[in-house]
Amino acid sequence: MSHNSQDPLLLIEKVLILKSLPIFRETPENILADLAPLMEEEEFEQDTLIFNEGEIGDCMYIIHRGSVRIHKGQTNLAILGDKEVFGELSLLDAETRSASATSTTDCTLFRIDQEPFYELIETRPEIARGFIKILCKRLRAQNEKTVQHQR
Amino acid sequence: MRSNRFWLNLLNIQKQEWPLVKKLFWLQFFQGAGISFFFTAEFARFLEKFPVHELPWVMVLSSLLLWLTGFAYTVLEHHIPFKKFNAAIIFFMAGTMLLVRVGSTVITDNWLYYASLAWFYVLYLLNNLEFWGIASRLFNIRQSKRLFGVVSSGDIPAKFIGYTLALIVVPYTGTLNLLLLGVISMLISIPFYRSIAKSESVHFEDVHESDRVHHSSHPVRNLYLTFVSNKIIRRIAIISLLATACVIIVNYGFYAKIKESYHNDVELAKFIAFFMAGLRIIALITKTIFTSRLTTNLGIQKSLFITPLLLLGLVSIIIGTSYFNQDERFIFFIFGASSIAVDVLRTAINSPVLLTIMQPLPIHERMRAHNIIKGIMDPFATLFSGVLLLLLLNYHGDINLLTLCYTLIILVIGWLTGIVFVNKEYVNMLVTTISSRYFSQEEFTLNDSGTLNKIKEKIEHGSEQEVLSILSMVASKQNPISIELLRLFVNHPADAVKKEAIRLVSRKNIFELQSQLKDLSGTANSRNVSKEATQAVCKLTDSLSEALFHYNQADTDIQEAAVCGMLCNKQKSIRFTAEEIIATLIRSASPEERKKALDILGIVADEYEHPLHSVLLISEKDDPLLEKGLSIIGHATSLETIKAAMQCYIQKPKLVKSALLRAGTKAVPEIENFLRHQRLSHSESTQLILLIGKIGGEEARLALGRLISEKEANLPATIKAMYRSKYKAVHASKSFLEDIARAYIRYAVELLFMQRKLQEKTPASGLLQNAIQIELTEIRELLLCLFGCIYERKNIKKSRTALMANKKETIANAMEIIEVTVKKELSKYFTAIYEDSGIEERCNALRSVYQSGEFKGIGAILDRILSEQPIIYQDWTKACSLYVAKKYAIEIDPHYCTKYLKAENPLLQETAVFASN
Repeated sequence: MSHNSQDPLLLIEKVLILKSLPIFRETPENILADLAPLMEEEEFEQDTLIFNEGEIGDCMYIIHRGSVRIHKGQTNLAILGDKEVFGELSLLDAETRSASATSTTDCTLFRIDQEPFYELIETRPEIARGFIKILCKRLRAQNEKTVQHQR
Repeated sequence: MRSNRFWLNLLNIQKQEWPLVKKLFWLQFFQGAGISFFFTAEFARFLEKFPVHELPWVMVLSSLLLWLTGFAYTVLEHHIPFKKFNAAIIFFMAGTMLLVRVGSTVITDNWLYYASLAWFYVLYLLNNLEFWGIASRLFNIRQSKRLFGVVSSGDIPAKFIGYTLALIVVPYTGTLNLLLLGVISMLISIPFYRSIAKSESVHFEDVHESDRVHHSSHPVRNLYLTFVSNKIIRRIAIISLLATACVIIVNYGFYAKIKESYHNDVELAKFIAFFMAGLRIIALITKTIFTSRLTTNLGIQKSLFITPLLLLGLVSIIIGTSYFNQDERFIFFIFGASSIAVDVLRTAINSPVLLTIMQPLPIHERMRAHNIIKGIMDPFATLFSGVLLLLLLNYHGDINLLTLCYTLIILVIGWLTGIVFVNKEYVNMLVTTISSRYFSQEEFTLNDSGTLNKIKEKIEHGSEQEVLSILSMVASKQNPISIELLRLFVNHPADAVKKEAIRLVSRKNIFELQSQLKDLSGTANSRNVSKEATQAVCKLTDSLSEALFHYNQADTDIQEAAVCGMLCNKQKSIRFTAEEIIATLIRSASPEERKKALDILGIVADEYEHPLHSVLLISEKDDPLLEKGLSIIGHATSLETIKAAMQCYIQKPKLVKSALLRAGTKAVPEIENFLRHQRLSHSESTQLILLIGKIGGEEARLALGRLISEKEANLPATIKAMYRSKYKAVHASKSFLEDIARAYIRYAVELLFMQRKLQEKTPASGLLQNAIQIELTEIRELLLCLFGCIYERKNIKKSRTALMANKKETIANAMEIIEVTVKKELSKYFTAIYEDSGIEERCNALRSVYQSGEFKGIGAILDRILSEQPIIYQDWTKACSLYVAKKYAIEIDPHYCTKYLKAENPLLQETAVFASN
């Protein structure tokens, strides 16, 4: 997608990455254009701990290249790849991380911090809509599961 | 391909709808043919055997049969899955036709003639319920308007062919064997039904499951309740009854006179077949070509008037000319013409439009409405007509066409009145359908004794949260506030309730509760309650010594509360004393003292403004204190303070904007002035204009009215702000805003043509497609805001919400509301642009608006966007254009890259740099 794979991404390309994520799929690109400048690129070598379970979370990550293992101790919960997101709830609240994240390959991640995100929401509430929709969907799915379980 | 498109355009069908429309057409074709064979045979046999004055008895009998059928249908449809149920109806219709054929050879009693002809009405009803039940599930309101005429026209050629065939074969086969043709025809319709059920399986799913609609075990009672409680269904049912009665009476008069001219069943069957065939061919042309266009152009509401007005005209001609021309044949011919016209219009316009009107209703209500109209009101109309004709025959001894004309006039007047009432309710129904029904405080009053008692009970026994919410409801809705209730709130055991109640007493200046407040200021266990009570006492008291008593307490919090109260006191001497205290603090060299002053002023910001507040904003060097000074600007602020705050705008834009919003309408002239005289960036001016809209009020509306008429107006922001401020256009501004709406429609159409060009799949087109879609959505929003300012705001607001929901049904309902709310000349283009249909159809429909040639290629589109024609595109669209041009090596004028190198928006600037390298 980038003009040259080694060059840093243009803001417009970062917008397209955001748009490809489920949480921002329904947010128009012109609004995501305000979020893109908040994406900070970070490189992680293979087997680097990105964050630890129990830490206070204040940012979310988008995997641009590479893969990340989400785990509780030695138990693997998920392996995430390109264009996947983790720690997204930390953008909305500063609770402790419920699991750890470790890079399983050399990774390029984009980090979005909570503080500037909050500031952006003040002027661009539409950005929060994508989040709220996803949370509602998860809540509904969870409710549905609970009802089915009770039956 | 081209000829196919011609036919689709002629029939007003969209390409993707065609396969389904075709199948529905054939389904109705074969069923209609079967029923016309049945009718020709039984009608001719009956009239050959009995005199015409026996026909009303058939009507009476058929009404009973229809009610029974309607009842059985209503009960069974809730117990049998939709798909199976409709298949069973088709088999049942074919089976009963066969039974009549067999029965007629075995039984020769007179009753069978009556029963067989009456059965025709039952078949007609069942076919109607089955076919419209299916069609109403498959299409939304917008599609219904276009397609109901076409899909239901299947029975017209069927009847035409049926009657023509009957005309040819009846001399050889005899009338009775026509019934066998009817059975075969009915059976042929089954494969089409199955094919529809398969391809549209989603719509055929059981509603009870998918929609979680739980039906009661009393479907008939439900029908009754729907009829009684739903205004529009009741009104539609009544006009349907009157329409059916008119048609029956007109046809009866006509057939009666025909019967006098023909003396055997074959001759009679031939005439009926010939007459009916002619009738159907006219109906077919009307229905397929004119119905959808009439309903689209006239709107549903006006289309309903066509049939009764024409009937009224024709009947009036008969009555008028009967005074000069006594020739029976002349009256008979005009009566015949009325019969043809009414029959054609009823099939071609009236029935499809009546059904279309019900489309916005939720699916279960729609089905119920349909059952009421077809299963209850039509039989009632048949019974009513039968009884009326019997009474007339009894009175006159034979059929008098003039008497029938007078009867028809009365019925038509009732019909027209009914339409007026249906139309009145139509928009309400649309709005209600897309509104979520939730509890609204505006729907009840808080001052009747029953409600007051309930509230007292809740204050006594409710939880703290409940009592707090009741208190806020009472504060906002009750007028005048009951002192008795307030006393209960103030005495409530919970501190939070006490505190809120004291604030309310203070805010509303309730002097009657002063003694209770005094008690609380001295004795309350909670420090917060004590402070709140002190502040209220010092505000309400008229004694300076009492106020100073509180101010002189050792507790600094109590002192502060006392000053707060005194600043808001109506007595000048008390207020002045407090002002001096604050002035001393503000003038102090100590930042702590100044902060203390600002803390106090912050508490009373919405009630009191100190004259030195503005001075502090201008002279304060301490940054946190300046920020504090801005953040305590409230509703009571003075013009000087607002002016002083505006001077801080460049330095602290965010804080100033919040302060202006809190200041409210007083800030509007200053913002307007600022916008005119400061060189602001586009995004800053946009934010300030939107802020005016957010502040609202008459002052804001006037300012926005001035701003929009300026040459260099920031139109998108001003339009949105006007809508936000609830701007209501008056005569002069209305035409100005309509001109703006027209211009935006032209821009949107051009964007649509760009999108059509970008449909050709190239790697470059996807990104631009989406960007243009965002522009189109933005123009839609602007148009809706403009419509909200020019026309009925409430309706436009509902449409806006429905469009945002972005579901096929809600979009259709929103478009319908816009069509009935907005001026036709604007609404027709708006709906054409934003309808949920293919881009080809939309562009074809809007060809007249877009006169320029087609875009030659992507380069031409980029050129248009980057040269900012015809609108100032969003930065995102321009950035995408630059990016696409560079990435896919599309040649553009290099000037476009340099033009945006110094853009305010970092994304656009960065992309311009990328594109220019």
